[in-house]
Amino acid sequence: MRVFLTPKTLRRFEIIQSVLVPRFASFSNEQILESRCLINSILAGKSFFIHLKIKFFLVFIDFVSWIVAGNFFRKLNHAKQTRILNLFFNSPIALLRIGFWGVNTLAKLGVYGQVSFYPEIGYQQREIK
Amino acid sequence: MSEKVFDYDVVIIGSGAGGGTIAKELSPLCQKGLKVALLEWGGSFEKKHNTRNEIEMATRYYFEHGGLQTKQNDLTLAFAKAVGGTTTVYTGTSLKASASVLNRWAVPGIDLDDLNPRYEKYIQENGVHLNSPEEINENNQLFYKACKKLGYKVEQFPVNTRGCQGLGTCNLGCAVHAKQGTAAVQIPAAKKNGVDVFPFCKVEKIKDHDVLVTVSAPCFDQEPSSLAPGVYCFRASKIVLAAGALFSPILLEKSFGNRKWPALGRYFTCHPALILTGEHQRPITNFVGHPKSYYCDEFTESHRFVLETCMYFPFTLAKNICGFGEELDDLMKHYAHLQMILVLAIDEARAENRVRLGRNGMPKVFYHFSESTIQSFVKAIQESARIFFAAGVRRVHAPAMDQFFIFPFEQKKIDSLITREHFKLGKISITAAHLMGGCRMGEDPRVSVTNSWGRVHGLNHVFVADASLFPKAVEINPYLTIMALADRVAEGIKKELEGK
Repeated sequence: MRVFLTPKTLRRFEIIQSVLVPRFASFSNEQILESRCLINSILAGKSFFIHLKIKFFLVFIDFVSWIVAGNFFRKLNHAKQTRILNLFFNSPIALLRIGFWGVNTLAKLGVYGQVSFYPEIGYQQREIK
Repeated sequence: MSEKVFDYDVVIIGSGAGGGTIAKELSPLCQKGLKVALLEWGGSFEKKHNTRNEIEMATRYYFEHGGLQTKQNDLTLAFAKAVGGTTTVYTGTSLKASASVLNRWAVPGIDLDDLNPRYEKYIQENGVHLNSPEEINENNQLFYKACKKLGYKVEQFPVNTRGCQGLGTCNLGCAVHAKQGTAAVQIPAAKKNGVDVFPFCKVEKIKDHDVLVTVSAPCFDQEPSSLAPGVYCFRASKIVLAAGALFSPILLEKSFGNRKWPALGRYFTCHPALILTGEHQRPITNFVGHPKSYYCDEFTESHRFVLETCMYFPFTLAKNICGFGEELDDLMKHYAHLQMILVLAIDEARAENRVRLGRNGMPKVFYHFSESTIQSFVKAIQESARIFFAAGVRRVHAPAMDQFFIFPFEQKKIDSLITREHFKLGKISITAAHLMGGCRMGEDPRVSVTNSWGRVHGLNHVFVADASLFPKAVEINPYLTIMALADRVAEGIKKELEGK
């Protein structure tokens, strides 16, 4: 099984994740582990090339942070981080929008894919009779 | 050839709306001594297998967790792998194609006179009915009332459920098996009459009259195939492809090349869809009850889209929300307050939109959004926003804006806030679950793959019986039309076999 969130990628991804889905920033250790598990399991069957593409995109976000704001993404303040991500989200270049959509979807998966999170948003499944 | 060979009169590939129907319709022939096999890549789901966990069930039921990306990466496709095919994960909404759609198809012999008796048969067989008013939740009622208030045409969906408990998780497979898909109705009937059903049986290739398959072991505690894992050959005098609009074309391509039929894999349509949300001041009943009770077809002819009620699970919703950050979390926090609308664009059948065999043996879908489809989406988002406000929401989240929410005081500016300029592919989540075309019916082999009886041009023994037959989009939820066409294909095959 190919693991996407290796320690190096993990650090970079989770900083971005906490800006994309701010609720992630106040997750318990258990929820953080569940987030990683969900993301890794969804990407486990994907090819090396797909993993590489996403990892490259995460590095590219850092690169753009350097160019635009003069520092690594993780070292920027929240407003600047949001500004950087908005550059991708609203980019006139489709490829950048698509790459961002992929990272954003993974970030959302880690949070809103968790069953233990359902009560917090008021989602309670009906009991089967 | 070293694989074990089984001899059959008919081998059906795929057990969804098309394959399940064909199996049941041909099954009386088993009592006359003919042998029919139904091969399915996925396994059978029992009630105990359904945990209603969104991610787990999406992984178990769907290819690529329900999100196969097109080559352009701006559209994801959802389709299931299970005994019963995608009928296991639909909502059971049961509509007939209109005369105008069939006229647009322009396939000789395919008209309401031919299809109506077939539709009626499955409407009866699958227990299609209208839910009673007390079974309809607020999410649906609010849509209905708002459409009426605006003077829009709104209709109730007939559904095919029996003993529905309103769990609201239809798209994760029904945990109480209330939906009357082929796994619940047609396949058990076919089995009873003597059709052999082989789950976990992936068809690799067709070689003349041989269907070469690989049988695998189940991934979890599903009932295994009666065949041990390995490679087998099913030899048949007739082969029916009912593997869906992605796999039927690529099986033909893999088996016979793509030069025989210029239209093979082409004219793919899928009713690309968007989810829109409006937030009410208070919680409404939304995630319990049948999720899909009404549709608005006011704009079908004028702007080529349909609006339907819907309710999706937390991650699916979050994925479809266009944006990120505090506003996303804030909207998700009000999940129980949300009303949802699904926009289905009616896309044109264009030759460049196509399915091809990928290097890994999986389908590769090339899909370009036409300008008219994008215009349909923009108009549909504007109209949905109007419906939400007419329903009394406190704010609307819609893509194709440069702000996250529209508030009631901005209602008058809807058309200037939601614009074509803001509709950017790749930024907005667009999904499709109505996959159609690729082996389209017709008389002319230059622009079609099969004739109107589903027989592949130039191959006397190979038939197609699924949504890949559709020459153009069906403009409604397709399963009943797939069954009606499969019934017609079965009729043709039956005549030939009985006359043998």
